[in-house]
Amino acid sequence: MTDLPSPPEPAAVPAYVAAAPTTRPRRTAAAAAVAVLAVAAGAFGVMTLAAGDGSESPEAAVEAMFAAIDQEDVIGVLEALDPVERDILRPAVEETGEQAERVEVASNDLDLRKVAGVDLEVEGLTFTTERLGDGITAVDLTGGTVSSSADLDRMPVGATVKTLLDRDEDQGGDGDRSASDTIELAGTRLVATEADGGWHVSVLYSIAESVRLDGDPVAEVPDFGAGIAARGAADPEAAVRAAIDAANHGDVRRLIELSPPGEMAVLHDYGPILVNEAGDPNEEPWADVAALELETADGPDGTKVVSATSFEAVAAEEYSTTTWNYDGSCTTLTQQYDESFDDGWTNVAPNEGVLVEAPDPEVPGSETHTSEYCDDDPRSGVFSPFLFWSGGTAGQLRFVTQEHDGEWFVSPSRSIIESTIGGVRDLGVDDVRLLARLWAGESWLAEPDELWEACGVDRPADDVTAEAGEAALVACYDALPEDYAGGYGYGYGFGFGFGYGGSSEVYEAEGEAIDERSYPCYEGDAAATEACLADLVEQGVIAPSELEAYRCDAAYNAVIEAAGDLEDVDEATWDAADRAYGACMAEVFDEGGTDAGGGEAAPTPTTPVPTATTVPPPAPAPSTTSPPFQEAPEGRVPDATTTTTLPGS
Amino acid sequence: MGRVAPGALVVLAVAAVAVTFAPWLRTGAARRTSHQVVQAADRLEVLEPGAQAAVSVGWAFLPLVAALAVLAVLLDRPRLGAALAALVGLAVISLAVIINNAPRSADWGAPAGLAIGSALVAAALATACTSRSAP
Repeated sequence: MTDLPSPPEPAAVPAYVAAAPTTRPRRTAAAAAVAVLAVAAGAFGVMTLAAGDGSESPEAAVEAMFAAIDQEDVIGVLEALDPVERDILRPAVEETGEQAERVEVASNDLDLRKVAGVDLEVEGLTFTTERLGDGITAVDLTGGTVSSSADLDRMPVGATVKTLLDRDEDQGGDGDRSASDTIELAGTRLVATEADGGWHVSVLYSIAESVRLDGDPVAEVPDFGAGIAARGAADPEAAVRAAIDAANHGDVRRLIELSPPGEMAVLHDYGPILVNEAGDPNEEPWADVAALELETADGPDGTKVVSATSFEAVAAEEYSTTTWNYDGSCTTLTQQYDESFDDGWTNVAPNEGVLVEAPDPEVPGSETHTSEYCDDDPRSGVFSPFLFWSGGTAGQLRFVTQEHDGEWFVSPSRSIIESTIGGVRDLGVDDVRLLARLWAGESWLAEPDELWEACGVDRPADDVTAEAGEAALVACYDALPEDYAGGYGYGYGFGFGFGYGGSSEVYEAEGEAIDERSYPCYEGDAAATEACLADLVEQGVIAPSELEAYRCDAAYNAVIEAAGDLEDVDEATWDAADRAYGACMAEVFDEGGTDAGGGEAAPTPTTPVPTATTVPPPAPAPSTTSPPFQEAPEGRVPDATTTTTLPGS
Repeated sequence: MGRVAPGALVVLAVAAVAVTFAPWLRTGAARRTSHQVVQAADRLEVLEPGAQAAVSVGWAFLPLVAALAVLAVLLDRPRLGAALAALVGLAVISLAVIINNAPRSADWGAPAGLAIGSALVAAALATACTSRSAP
């Protein structure tokens, strides 16, 4: 029994063998199918990587951008832009968002990919195209609208803005936190550029085209690629020094040469037009710059950021000399007015802030005023890059330089962004809240302690109402000794008063250009105002120049009003109004119609005179007594002679 | 178990590829697939150049790698298939985690990708383990 062979194990062999004929062919077929899919997947990968950046045509690029706007798709908008420009914009947009959250302007809910409370809608887009050059095509929008609506209550605003809004509402604001608008697109010219086979919308070329088309006469389309050649400097500091020197001489050509050839190709292309517009450089510098010390730091993407550690600049003008002295932390601004100010004709009164074309025998002849603005002062920080000449600090000016083929260039766009964001980086939440109130009109917050001490009025606590603060400031100005030579606040320098925007703040900034005793006159209609002013002149209460200036301003306003709705006033009408005003002023002074003082030739609006940027910050007059002023539409900048003289109703 | 894991791997690999074409990111009213997200990141130069190139190439060929993983399993190369599938799963998980970090913008594809990618990695591990222990 033991020799009997064991029965075979009931192995699975028969079953395995039996199964093989059906499984293998099925697996093989499946594997073959998957292999085909793998090839297709490989092709997909290759196609994905080969897909170009950009749209197939200029029209498609513009459509892509507006489609993204319609969907409030920030990434889509950035993708539609020229690659070089989005390289500049993207980090700026991101850091702006981060900084906005940090200083509590935006809440932590801010998501730049979808800003809550903002709705955009693009409709009826139509356009035509015009080829400008190789890879550069203008897309002229012939129809379409962008409707926008914003609801602050839904927007991710931070505590800073909420506080400001609540404060405004508590003080009688209308509490309306929503806004909507519709923009007509017809007449807009966008420029699309081609790079690596894809078309994108170029913001910079679009702006350049707008400048070209606004010229009179309109310049020819530039010869793209054959404009002003790039010519850099040996190192970052040399590039910045060269740029400062060029700016100081008004040498636009040199400034363009110093801009990076790739990033600022638009400047090089349109350079000849800009140079032609700007005219020849000045032989004499606008200001003597001395002891300019610079320091260089590493920036992103191989850039170098150059900033000043000290300098002194002296600008001598017809009636004044302005000196900026920056010691690395503070800018001391000294303004000296010579006696010609007191000649009875042109008078830049130190505490009025802007040009006053009216005699004021009470203002002493030669005066010196000194103000100091420090980098760590939040009130001079955020706008200093653009207003340092009028009282900001130079410490925030940062020049971003780039190297190309061994030469260094100054990037204007990156410098502006860096200087602006750099100023914000140094601010704290409380600083920004203070600035927000300043921007909202509470200029008294910016007044220095020395002014309050000089006038003997207690500085109001920071949390008082706007009305109380303003009242205290008015009381302070009333009590301010005439020989006060200290500093002034500069709240009105923040984009309002010095913006030449024709706003009521500009009018207020003109301050005592209008004798305060005449304020009640401006509460009536035009005829009543003129009659009232005439009475005061007759009584010897106010200077005749105020009446004359009022009449000239009325001439200006008459031209504007004759054109109908202010929104519809075109450039030609604004120019005509300027001419009417200028002619009136010239007539008045040429005829010696106003109290001619010393009998010297009176300046007309076209006479070179010190501008608002060279005089101390303004002392606002009480807004409640300010007469109305024709506000120019946004973007329209009436010339200085118009905005710095007495406005009429 | 010996056949369940490779089968799950095949199904999940297909699902992982499919989910990459679902909407992953919402910007405004626009919705982007994972491939469009990677493309946009490339155009906007969100990452360092080297990393961006790796991500772009890797994501473009992710379907190919997944297909090769399935093919390897079908050709009785379960460990190779598992390795490739794990690669796909980890890549999907990585991008899904990044996008899910911005929950207000993440679309449904991102959390789905996270779930499917995780399951695929698990299936890959199971496949690798079972194929190692098989006689």
